[in-house]
Amino acid sequence: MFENRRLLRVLRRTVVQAVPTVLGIVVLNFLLLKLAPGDAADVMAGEFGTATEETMAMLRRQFGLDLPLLQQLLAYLGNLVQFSLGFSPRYGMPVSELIGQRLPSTLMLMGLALAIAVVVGIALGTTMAMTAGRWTDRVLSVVSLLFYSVPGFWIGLMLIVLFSVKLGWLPSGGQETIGAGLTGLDAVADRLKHMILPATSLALFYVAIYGRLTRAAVLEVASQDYVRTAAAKGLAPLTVTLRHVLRNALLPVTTLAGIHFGGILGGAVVVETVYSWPGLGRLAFESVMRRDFNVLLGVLLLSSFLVIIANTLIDLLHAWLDPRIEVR
Amino acid sequence: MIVLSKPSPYLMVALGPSESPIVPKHLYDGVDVAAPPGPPLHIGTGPFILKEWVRGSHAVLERNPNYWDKPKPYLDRVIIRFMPDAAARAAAFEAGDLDLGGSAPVPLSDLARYKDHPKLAVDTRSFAYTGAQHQIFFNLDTPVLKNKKVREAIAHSLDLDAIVETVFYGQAKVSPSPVSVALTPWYDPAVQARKFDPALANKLLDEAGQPRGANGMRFPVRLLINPFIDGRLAEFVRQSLRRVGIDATTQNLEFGAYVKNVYTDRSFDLTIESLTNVFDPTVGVQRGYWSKNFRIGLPFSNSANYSNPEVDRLLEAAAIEIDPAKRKTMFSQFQRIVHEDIPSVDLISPLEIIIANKRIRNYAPGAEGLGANFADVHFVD
Amino acid sequence: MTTAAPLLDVADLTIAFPTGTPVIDFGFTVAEGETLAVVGESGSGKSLTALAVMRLLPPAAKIVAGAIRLKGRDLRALPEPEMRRVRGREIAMIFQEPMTSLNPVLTVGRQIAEVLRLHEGMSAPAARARTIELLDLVRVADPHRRVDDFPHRLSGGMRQRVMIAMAVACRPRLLIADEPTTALDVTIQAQVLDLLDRLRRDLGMALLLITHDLGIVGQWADRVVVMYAGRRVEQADATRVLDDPLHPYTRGLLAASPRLDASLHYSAGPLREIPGSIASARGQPGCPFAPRCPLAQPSCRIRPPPLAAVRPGRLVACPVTTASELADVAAVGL
Ligand SMILES: Nc1ncnc2c1ncn2[C@@H]1O[C@H](COP(=O)(O)OP(=O)(O)OP(=O)(O)O)[C@@H](O)[C@H]1O
Ligand SMILES: [Mg+2]
Repeated sequence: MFENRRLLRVLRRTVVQAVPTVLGIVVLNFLLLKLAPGDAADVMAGEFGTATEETMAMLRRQFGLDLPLLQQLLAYLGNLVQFSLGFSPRYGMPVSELIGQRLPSTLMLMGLALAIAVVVGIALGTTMAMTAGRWTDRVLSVVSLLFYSVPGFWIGLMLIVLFSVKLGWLPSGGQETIGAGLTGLDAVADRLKHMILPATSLALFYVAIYGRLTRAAVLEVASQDYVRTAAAKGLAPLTVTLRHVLRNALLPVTTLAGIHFGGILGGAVVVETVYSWPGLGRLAFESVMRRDFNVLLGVLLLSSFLVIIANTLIDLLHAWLDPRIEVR
Repeated sequence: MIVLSKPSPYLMVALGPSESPIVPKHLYDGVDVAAPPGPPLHIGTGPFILKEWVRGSHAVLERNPNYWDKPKPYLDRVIIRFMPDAAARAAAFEAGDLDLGGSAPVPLSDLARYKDHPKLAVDTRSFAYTGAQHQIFFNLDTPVLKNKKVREAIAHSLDLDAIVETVFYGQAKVSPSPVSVALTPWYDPAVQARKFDPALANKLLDEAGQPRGANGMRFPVRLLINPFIDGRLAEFVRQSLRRVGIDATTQNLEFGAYVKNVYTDRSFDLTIESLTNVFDPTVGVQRGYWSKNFRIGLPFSNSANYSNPEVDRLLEAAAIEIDPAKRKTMFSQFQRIVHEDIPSVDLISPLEIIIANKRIRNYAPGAEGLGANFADVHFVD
Repeated sequence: MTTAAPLLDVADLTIAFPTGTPVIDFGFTVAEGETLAVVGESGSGKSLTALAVMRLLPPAAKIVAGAIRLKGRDLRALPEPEMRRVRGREIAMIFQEPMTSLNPVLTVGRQIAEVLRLHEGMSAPAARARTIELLDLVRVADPHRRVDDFPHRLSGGMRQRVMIAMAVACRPRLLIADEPTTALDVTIQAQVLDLLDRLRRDLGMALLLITHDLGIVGQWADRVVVMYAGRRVEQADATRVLDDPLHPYTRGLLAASPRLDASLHYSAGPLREIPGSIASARGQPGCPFAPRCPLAQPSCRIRPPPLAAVRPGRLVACPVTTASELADVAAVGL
């Protein structure tokens, strides 16, 4: 009862704080984007190759690019107030629909990647900490350094070459077997199969970070008095680590994972490109290239919501992990 | 029925289905096609029906059972995948996930691997309607470039064969005229590339009153490149220019910024452009050299700000000349004058590389390359 | 004096780090049901000794010599899984710092129940019920509510009670209390020590009470071992040590400690501290206390004086006091 009221209060405060934040993000992004040289008409006409001045004027009028900047901004905000993200002339569809098409699969990919990163990273870091100074620790440290330093597109391509080209186990790209008409569980399995490689490539970098962080945190917690207490009870080392050490060591890792959840949307561009995955990262990237600012603003708006949601969840998770923390 | 106020010799070609698809009257008549959301784009008369289109991912085309030219089409279904990364496409080809790809679908550096591939073939036929062409345009408003000797020197400083071999891995042809060598009906073989001769280039520059300074450089130029072209070409040109004492600096711009820089701000001295000739010089070449098409803010207009009344006259006349022989003569004259005036240095024409499963037949039956309608495509065992 | 085989027998224990040897030839016995106090100032090696018994020494520390026997069983030779069955079940331990010795993210109930489930194989509800009983046993008020509290909501004294409840949950034969009251207020100290003493009697366990405070020894310990720089310097019945300390270090220690015994507390005169510090024992070839000892003889600096039995159950490692005591004994005709 009390817990629920407290949660509601947290949510309300989050929403109240989010509105001005999001508004600021929208206005700032809008103005920044307008600073970029060239507009959607330039790019479209450039791609036609044989456009005339009349076509360009028509395009500008149609996109509202002929209006003064302030009026464009107000028009955009006006749309937002009516819960509309505007229209993308490039894709010939409303922005919300475009984003809606890509959001579920992108969230799933990000979620899977982060889940892999957190689970594997924590396992890796814990193993390193438990064998600190011994050869297992050394080997794993080198491996995680490798994950950290090798560029994502290279890892992606190597995974494709190994698992798709050489072994033929997993698809080389895309998000489903196109035209297979799969339904139900088969469709889910098919999607998962398509997600394994991109999620792994995306995750490896973060695995390295979480691994190092967990190792440090576990080592620090392991020297605490209460860990000695646990050992004095007669608990096995693994139980001590899992029950008494890890939970205390998790706080820094989850904080970082929360921060990454926002950033990973942008970091996914490379992986989405390598795996021909129609995700939000690529949509955002291509919108920049095409000056399709309605789409870009929509994606940015969405990611700021995601960041806020992720942070709230992390706060709640922290409060659950550590009873000393009051929900802020 | 189309009523023309003037003859339009290229119109017949322009009516090919890839340029001018047939659209349904009941959906387009009286509709402002530009106003969002616009009329549906996928209702036509072709051999396939658009079943599904996931933007950024793929489109699925299913056989049109009512196609007029029975028993075509032969394929039950065509899946078009949008794959932005060349290396990923290469992997997908090798994994057997792709059967056909055009416009050099894999990195040129990988092509050698496909030479003896058991299942895939590399097809480098050129197609008459594509007319790919890369050229350098001079900004003739830049004082130092107003001097023709300087432009001539630059032309002599570039080794086009080396460009073909090193930048394009041999997958291009030297194309020295404003009309691409790929556009065989119109290209004039009398127009040949200026000899690669750095000594001559140096001499011309000295004569042009541009001696080398203390640092060995004569003058600075800003060199841009259309980002759809491999950036190594800009690097090649930059080094060639520096060798004859022209202090060229390159800037990597993405497409929107590039178009704005060249065609609106005109803040460039040389730009490596890809002014494709498409199927006819009037459509594809005229825009770059016609003085009346010097339009600030209009992409792929006359970026050099080149103006020669004789060239204007020839282009305008050729645009309405219906006798192909006379038209060819006009374009020949045009090519020779432009080659003489050097508003541009024409470089190469990249090959239209298609990679195809060896079991596919008729994927590019006509002059449009892969742009044809696939009605004839089929597999053999 | 108990004559039966001791519950715990530590003999000739030597613990070494790469950097030094903080415990040397140390030994003591604990009989069933008795309270043995190990007394020594900070850094003398008391905690290391206790951890050695539990086999929980830090990785850098090695037992280089000695034997540790529990009811005749050699704990040093026990395989690790069996040693884990000793910890918490036969020997339990509580620590100096109640503030940090409990896991902050688990409820105290869970931490107590954990031992019961591990060693007694109890189901969760049974362990919880027993936990509440235990909290009641250690005099935690309102145990039904407290069982679900997190440690940070409890005071230091309460936490130490929780630690004690955890330690006695499986009715161990021996409870090692490593300075259990050092971090607590004086009034709470007495309560906690009373509690330990009562539990010892009620549960029939032995208590190894580690402290640097001779003042609490008289009231709560049966016997005392005085430790200095890793060595045993004196051993006796608690009352004898207090009334008649033999080793110069013990005397100094006694003079430096207030006594909980109220009548003596303020009347014992000003507290005197021992000049110098325990650090001077480092690298001494002779008696570790020699650099601070007012009675030191030249021979004391050559090699450590042997532990000599001056009376049954009374040992002292000091040639000077041994000689005079033996003289006394002769005079009295014992
Ligand atoms: N990790 C270590 N490395 C090296 N020496 C150590 C280490 N831990 C303890 N020591 C040494 O062992 C000696 C005894 O330590 P111990 O903790 O047993 O003392 P103590 O008698 O319990 O003191 P206190 O009353 O402060 O708890 C210390 O003086 C210290 O020099
Ligand atoms: Mg200690």
